[in-house]
This record gives sequence, structure tokens and C-alpha cells, in this order.
Amino acid sequence: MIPPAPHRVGQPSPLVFHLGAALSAYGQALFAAPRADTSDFPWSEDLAAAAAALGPDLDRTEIAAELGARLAATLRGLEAWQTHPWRRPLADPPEIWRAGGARLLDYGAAPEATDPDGPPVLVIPSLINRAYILDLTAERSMLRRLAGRGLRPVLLDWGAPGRAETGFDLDAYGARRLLPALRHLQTMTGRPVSVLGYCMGGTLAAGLAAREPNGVASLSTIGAPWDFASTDGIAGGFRALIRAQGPHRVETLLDSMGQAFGAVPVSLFQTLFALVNPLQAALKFRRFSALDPDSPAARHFVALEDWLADGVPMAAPAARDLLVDWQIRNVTASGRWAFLGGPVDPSAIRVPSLVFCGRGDSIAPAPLARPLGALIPDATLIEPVTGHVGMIVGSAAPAQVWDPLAAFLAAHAG
Amino acid sequence: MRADDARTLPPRRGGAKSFSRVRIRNATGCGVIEAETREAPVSEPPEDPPPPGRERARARAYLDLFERHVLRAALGRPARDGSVIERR
Repeated sequence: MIPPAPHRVGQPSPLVFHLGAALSAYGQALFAAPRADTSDFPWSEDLAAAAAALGPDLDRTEIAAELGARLAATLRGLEAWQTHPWRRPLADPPEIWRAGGARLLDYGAAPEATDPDGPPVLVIPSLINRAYILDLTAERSMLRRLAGRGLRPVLLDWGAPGRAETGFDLDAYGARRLLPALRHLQTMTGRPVSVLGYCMGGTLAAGLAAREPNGVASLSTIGAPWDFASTDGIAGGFRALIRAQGPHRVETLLDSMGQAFGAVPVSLFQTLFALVNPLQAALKFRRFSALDPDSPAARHFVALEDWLADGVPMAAPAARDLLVDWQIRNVTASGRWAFLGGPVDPSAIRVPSLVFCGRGDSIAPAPLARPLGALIPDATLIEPVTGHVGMIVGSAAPAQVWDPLAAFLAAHAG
Repeated sequence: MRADDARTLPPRRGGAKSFSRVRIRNATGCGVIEAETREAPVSEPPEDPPPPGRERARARAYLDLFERHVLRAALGRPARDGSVIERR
């Protein structure tokens, strides 16, 4: 018996919540079975005909037995991941700048780079997860692909909040980490710099391009949320609920977490991700249980799960900005987001812009991400048929995201 | 009137339960009615029994649909066509 890798023990975090969410959802399946072939159950339109064809009187004993088999497969997959021998082998490229916990990693110096002095691209990831999703494996590395196309991607790795960043809100991250990193890269290369942001890093990139356009060659965003008005899906339902209750309780909670733990724990964000998709963990680990552990697909799964399990805590003021000011108060779309000295207005962005909005994105779905592309004048909007993480490391990413992105960056290099 | 006994049960044959005579005594205990009963209908197997595993297959189909339904609901039902849209 191979013991679990230490970094996978108790993962995905919080494990009991993921399993509980799956059990709860499946319990609901059992409860709803007598209504499965009727209009009493709220099937989505395209599933209703298949549900009606199931016929009456489903055998709940058989359903329970099948549920047991599915949950057993999920647990087998979970154990197979926890004990898998794969470890991420990639080494970071050279660090060219550091401030507090943040640093710049120069992929122009990676072995795959074809032009170390190519057009510089400042790459801005999310603050919630580790930056290396953009350089996950040798086979699925967006940054190494861009470097191989003659560009010079430089990754802003935010790191975990240390003593210097404990009191940072998003504006402080912008003023004391993001803007100095941009200025450093501009000075070092002597060229205009393209800015590229992923997830909330894309929203920050848009704020940077709007507020500090000098020396910015172009703006690209991938899965960047902007307008949080939508109440679609489970996440939208939570936003509506908290708006109705008033967001001050959530602010108090986040402040309390910051005081108790020094930052908002990773598990809070992991719980929120699990809440918006309660069967996700059960389904993905069940699928993994059917894979050959030595297959490329299995290794990719392990790499991705390792990254998901490797989250970072967030400074409490920044978490409050993200979860309350953005998500609940929707300051971004309502013109009240103050960043780098003033309100951010995407319609004031004048640099060439490219916006990717994934059609299967559950983190920054189309109603949240698409408005950014509509607001930026003359922005190009591309909607890949993949999800939030899939746009970065999925099988569709090279053709639908990396290559059009590389072409855009090359065409609009400074 | 109450039925208090049935003493003339024939031996069971092949699982078909039948009896041919019942003695019923009325509430005063003074009258005895003996009656020939009809032969109880013998259970026959259904003409079209479910094939082995059919109910499990229905259960699987239902759970497959349920999982897809929950995913759709969670995501807010994203677009379903497979095209890539690019526009300015």
C-alpha cells in the first residue's frame, strides 16, 4: 500500500464538505425518484424528454445500490489520486524582481523560449490560487507556449500573504505589487509591456490598463469576471441571498477570520467552489477511478488536482474586496471600483484588447465575464468551448486560447 | 359472525394455496355453515417479466440524468452548442 502524498492528505479541502455535498445531492436524487418521470421535478428543458422516457415506479432499492457503487468509485478515485506517484517536475524560471511575498518569473529565460528579448508580457494570475496553473506541466504550459512563439512572458507570482501583505486590500496589491512590477518590467526591457490577466487577475489587469495606460501595449483577459449582477446558477443565488440580507455580516465574518488566522483560510474559498458545484468532486474522482494511472490523462488529472489542493490564504481586506465589494456590491460594473487612485472605467481603455470568456466557465460565467469585452472599445471577444481552468490547461486550450492569444500579443507588441 | 377455524385445509401443492372447505360458526355458536370454497387462483408468472438488470439500468439512466441536471443548475445553464464565437 502506497501512503498518500503528504500534500494530498485530507484533500481536496475541506474533504468532509466535498463528500457531504455529494451525499446530500445523491440523497436528493433518491428522494426525488418517484417524481422522476413527471413534470413535478424541475428538469431542464433538454432533459425532460429523457426523464419522461424513464417511465414510472423507479426501483429505489436499485437506485440506492447504484448510488453506492458510484460513491465507492469516487472513493477509489480519491485514494488513487492521494497515492499517485506523480509530482510536478518543472523548475521555475529565473526570478527577476521581488517585493514582499510577490516575485516576477521570467519565462523568456525558460528552455522553451525562442527570443529572450521578445515582446514582454506581464502575466497576472488570481490571488486565490497558485500562479503555476499557467505553467502546470511541460505539456500544458501556456507560458512556455507563449515563450516558444517569440514572446517574453513574465509571471507575477503573488505568493502567499506574508507580514508585509496581511493588511493589503486589492488597491494595495495594485499600488504596491502590480504597478511596481509593471514599471520594473518596462524599465528593464525598455519597451511597452502587454498585460495579460487570468481570473480575478484579468479584472486587475483591466483596472491597470484603465488607470495606468502609459507603457501598456495591449490588454488580454481570460475568464475575468466584471459584472456580478447575474443571479444565475447556485453562485448567483448566493449573491442574491447575501444582497437581500445585507453584506455587512459577511464583512464581519471575513474580518474575524483575518483576526483569528492572520488571513482568510484557503478552505473558505474551496468551500465556496464546492458549494457552487456540489457534485463536482464526486464526478471527477469517479471518472479518475476508471483511468489507467499511468496514462497521460491520469497524470494531467493529478497535476490539476495537486494545483487545486495547493491554494493560498488571502489577506482579509483583499478577500473583503473580492467577496463583498465585487461579488455582492458589484462595484466593478457599477463604476464604483476605486483602483490605483480612481474609479475604473473599461470604456476608457484605449489599448488593443482581447477578452476570453469560456462557455463552460462556472467561476466567471458568461454573464459575469462577457460585459468586460462589451465595455472595452473595439475589444475582441473569444468564447472558447471550455471551462474556467480548461481555458488554461484543458485539451482545447492550445487551439482555442493559447494560439489566438499568441497571435494577438505578437500583433500588438510594443 | 366470525370465522374461527378452517380445519380442512388440503396439503399445499407447488406453492398454490387453496382450500376446498371452510366451516364458519356464527357469533352465537349455534350454527355451523359449511361451505365449499372456490379453488384459489394459482399464481402465474407475469407474461413479460423484467429482464435481469433492467431496473438497475433504469436507475443508472435516472442518475445520469440527475447528475447532468445538477451540473446545469449549478452553472446556470450555459450555452449548449459547440461553436466558438469570435466577434469584435
